[in-house]
Amino acid sequence: MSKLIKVSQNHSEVKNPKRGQFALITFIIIAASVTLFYYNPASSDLYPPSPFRVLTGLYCPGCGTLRALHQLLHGHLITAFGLNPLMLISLPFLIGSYLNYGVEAITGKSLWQIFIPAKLIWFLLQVVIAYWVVRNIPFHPFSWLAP
Amino acid sequence: MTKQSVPNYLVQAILVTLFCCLPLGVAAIVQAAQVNSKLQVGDYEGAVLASEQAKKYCWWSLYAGIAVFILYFIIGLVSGGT
Repeated sequence: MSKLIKVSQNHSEVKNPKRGQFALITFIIIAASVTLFYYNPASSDLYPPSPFRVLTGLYCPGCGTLRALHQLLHGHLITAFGLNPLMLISLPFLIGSYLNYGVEAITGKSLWQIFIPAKLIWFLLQVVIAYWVVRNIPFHPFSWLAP
Repeated sequence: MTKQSVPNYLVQAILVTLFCCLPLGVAAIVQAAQVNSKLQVGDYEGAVLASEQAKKYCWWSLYAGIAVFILYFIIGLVSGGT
């Protein structure tokens, strides 16, 4: 059951409302990238702190995402990976899904249609929760996962 | 019944988990998994319900993230910090 099941789909809708959404998403990504490039979240007051961190003093799976993206935009792949490895691993999938969405919005046909088996999503959930717990363990090698 | 017709909002769920930093993102991933679980056993209506839940959690998580951002901005202005 762990194979990805491909489902073909015929697209014959009239006007595609996804175009406006795609334009908006693209605009947000560009604006966020420019901001993140010029203002380092590690030293700037521009960004709010993580509410989870403020309330509990613990790290969450999203901690280090903005700092990692800042480092990534400056080409520091290793530093970015050290700040939030899970984010960096998931990034190619997020970019892939963004591209797929864009192609579908513009041409009306998607690059791929993948049905992700439920098992894989449950596994992802376990990974996220394990990551959440483990990166709070304050000694080596777990502390490496902390931002 | 096409499996593709029910969105599971998995990408959005991952995004809010990484950026909005709230347990709501995890709840959204749970619902995304429910959508595909139910589709696999042919429970179309259950999948639609889970899909709506997933969408709801993603939006609430995003709202919470934006609320924190605005709150932070206001506190910054009031306290006179730059």
